[in-house]
Amino acid sequence: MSVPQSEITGQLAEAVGPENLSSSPVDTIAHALDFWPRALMKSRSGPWPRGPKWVVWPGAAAEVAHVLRIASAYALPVIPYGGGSSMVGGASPRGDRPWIVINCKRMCNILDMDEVSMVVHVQAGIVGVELEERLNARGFSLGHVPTSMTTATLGGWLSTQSAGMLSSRYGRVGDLCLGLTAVLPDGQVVHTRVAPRRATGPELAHLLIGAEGTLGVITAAHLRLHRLPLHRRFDSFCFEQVAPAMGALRQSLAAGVRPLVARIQRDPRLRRSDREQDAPEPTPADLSRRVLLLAYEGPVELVEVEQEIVRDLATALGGEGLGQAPARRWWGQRFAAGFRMTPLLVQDHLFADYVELGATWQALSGLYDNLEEAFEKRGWRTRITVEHARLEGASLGCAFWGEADSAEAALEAYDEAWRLAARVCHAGGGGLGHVYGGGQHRAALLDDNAKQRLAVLTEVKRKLDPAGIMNPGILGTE
Amino acid sequence: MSFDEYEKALELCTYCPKLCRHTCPVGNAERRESVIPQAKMAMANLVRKGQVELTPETASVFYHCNGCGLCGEYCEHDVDVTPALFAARAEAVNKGMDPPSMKQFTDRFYARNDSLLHELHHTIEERFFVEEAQVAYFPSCDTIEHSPRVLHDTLKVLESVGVDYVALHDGEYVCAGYPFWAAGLMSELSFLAKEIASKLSNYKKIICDCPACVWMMRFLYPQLGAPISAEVLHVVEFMDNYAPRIQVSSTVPEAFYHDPCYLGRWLGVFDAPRRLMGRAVREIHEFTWNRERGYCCGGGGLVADNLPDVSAKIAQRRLEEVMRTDVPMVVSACATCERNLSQESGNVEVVNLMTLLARQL
Ligand SMILES: Cc1cc2nc3c(=O)[nH]c(=O)nc-3n(C[C@H](O)[C@H](O)[C@H](O)COP(=O)(O)OP(=O)(O)OC[C@H]3O[C@@H](n4cnc5c(N)ncnc54)[C@H](O)[C@@H]3O)c2cc1C
Ligand code: SF4
Ligand code: SF4
Repeated sequence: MSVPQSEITGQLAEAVGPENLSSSPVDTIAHALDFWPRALMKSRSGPWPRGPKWVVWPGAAAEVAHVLRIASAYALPVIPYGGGSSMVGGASPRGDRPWIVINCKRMCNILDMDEVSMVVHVQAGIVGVELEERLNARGFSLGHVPTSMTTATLGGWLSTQSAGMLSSRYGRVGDLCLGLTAVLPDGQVVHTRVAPRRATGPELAHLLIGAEGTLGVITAAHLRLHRLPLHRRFDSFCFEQVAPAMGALRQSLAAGVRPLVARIQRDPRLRRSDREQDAPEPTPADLSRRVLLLAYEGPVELVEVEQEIVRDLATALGGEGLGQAPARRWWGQRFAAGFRMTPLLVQDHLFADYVELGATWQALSGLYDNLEEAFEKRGWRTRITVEHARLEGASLGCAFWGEADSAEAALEAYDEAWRLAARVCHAGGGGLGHVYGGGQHRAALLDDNAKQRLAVLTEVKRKLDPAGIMNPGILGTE
Repeated sequence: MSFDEYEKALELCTYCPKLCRHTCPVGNAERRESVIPQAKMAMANLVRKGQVELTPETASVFYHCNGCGLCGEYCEHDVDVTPALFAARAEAVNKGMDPPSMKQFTDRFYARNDSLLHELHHTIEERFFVEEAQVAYFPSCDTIEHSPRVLHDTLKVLESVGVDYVALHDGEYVCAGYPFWAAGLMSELSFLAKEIASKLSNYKKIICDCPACVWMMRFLYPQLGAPISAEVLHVVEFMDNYAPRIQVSSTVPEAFYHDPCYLGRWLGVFDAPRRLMGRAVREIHEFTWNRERGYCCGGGGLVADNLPDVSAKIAQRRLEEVMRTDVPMVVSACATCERNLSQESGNVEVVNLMTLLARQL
């Protein structure tokens, strides 16, 4: 279908107001990429990618509905845009047809706060840190703290089923969501009812949470809150290997402990910046040591009991207590990880990304070793962290980076690294895309089981979105 | 510095996941992706690399910056966005691609200077303009235009603590040239800096009521080949030595202190104004975003002139926290902050620190 651009421009201006519509290069360039490393790497040596034809900033669900009806009528792709921090190309351009970006950030208000039930009703375009600060000012917290807290939006979190660094205690963002308002591709506005539990059919909100904008645009949500903690405490243990560290964490969760933070990583004392100048180079034994970092929060009595249980379990598995300092230090720098990839991305012969895979405890330690070994065999550097621990399993976050002879070779090595990660992951019974979603990138690397599941999503999408406008090409959809 | 010298900073921002988005007063007010720090720097970088054409339209994003420096405070790469974006403005000016709002800027600057100079002599008694003095008081344009009583109050406070060797600088200019820097008019700025430096170097000490003037004279003038041999201080830094001589009256029960960006983040002066304020105010309330993280009033970077609605929204956001309380006063130490905040402050009084101190005399 040919696209009558000026006619569409007129209709979009009517939908959102001319001041909330732009085709200026200033705005289209700013929406031409998200934070998918592959697309960023390509832009280093090639041209800056083409942006959308139109950017709209609707102020309410009704305006979103109007835009989607226009898009459906002309079969124009629509990309909902939150903070653009997607690392999987979820908000990046694709295809040849001119497309519309719906930037959600005008919808950024807290609509209501029920302090008795501890529920907030908030619009989806609010940036995470702004929401948290507003809640903190009233003595509450959401308890959802991803590393991209300062840049990502609530709508982006919900659409990708985001997991924050406090997920062992508070769960994923979907676990905090009690109800949604969303606009379906045909312009229908749906509100899912907010009630503690209900048994009348599947939960519609959970069809939209994690759908990455393929089924509609989330415009607002009711979220569960927590009171700001009265007490917080940190603890750390060092283990000779990763396996006993995982054992201590797994057994602690099984014993009913709900730590605020629980992560296993390399011994931070080996960091170059933290070592004495004349300290000897780390030995292989130093390098295989892993540290379990923990934080607890809540009433003092509860925190003390949880800490005691973990301490006993960790000590029984050979863990050496390092006290509060390493975990407290990590907490102080908890957002620093977000800055680490950029210096690698600005050099066009380097490649870098972050593999995040999930597995049950049974499979996790094997996967950890295999992934580390496979990458190091190729001379690529890795840093693997065990995070988002739950009763049944956890996630491995594997930052990797390497060097190639040229920009093209760097892209090839990047793709090879991902194919390798997918092979190791599938062979070891893990699942890719555990944290950042599927987007354009991970969806192509998923195992058959995941692909089958997404084929069902494609069927649902065909019904809800016959014109195929909503974020096509994401999560394996057409 | 030329535009290309910011290559490293511009590249880092282009490939940054927009981590300082939340700090930017302009980005927060406009809610547009194109005016968050990352996008403004990326646009400058794409223009620098020739990947995007420099036009008045693409250059316009460089002007959506207050020059507050808050983004850099959050940045772990130590990127300093303000000078890079001001260099991008200079590039646009040099190529004749600056946005229409910048036209005839130099003429407007000098016309305003002359009228404020006239106003200054009209407002202040001639006895305060002494040529031979150890310390020269360099009054700033925004103070003369929007808060002329601060001039009287500053002189009154100085007198009250026994400092009678300060004279008002009787020069041709009432601005150290920040607007030229922010407009990207670097040759005009160089000329002005050299003129002012040559006159002010006769004194031992210069005091200014405008934090941006102090920063310019102390740090930018030497880079422009116009160093000032005299010590340049903000009036608050100067008065801090005399704080014990100010009677503690605590007539004001409570007030917020707003850190001006240039006095706080840029010059690192945080405690002196609080110490002085403590002579008059019983309880000093802190903003959540304070000291190094102080949030801008919206008055800098020519945003108040070019984008008045945006500037007003920034001031509203700064005052939101005050409005949630019953605290009736906000104190600052910069006429630009005073002007910008008071336009949006409703019943809350925004007071210059010197006025606050003068009131108790
Ligand atoms: C440095 C860094 C650290 C990160 N850390 C974490 C982390 O700790 N945990 C984590 O889970 N993720 C993390 N991420 C990934 C990313 O931040 C998350 O996926 C986040 O949820 C995306 O939010 P956003 O607002 O930026 O969405 P965008 O990137 O704008 O969009 C993400 C996807 O959601 C869709 N979308 C956006 N808004 C809506 C809406 N209102 N309705 C429907 N669809 C919508 C988009 O079309 C896109 O497909 C990190 C990313 C970076 C760059
Ligand atoms: S200033 Fe720092 S945090 Fe902000 S966009 Fe640039 S690199 Fe990122
Ligand atoms: S200096 Fe201030 S206004 Fe300018 S980009 Fe940074 S935070 Fe925004």
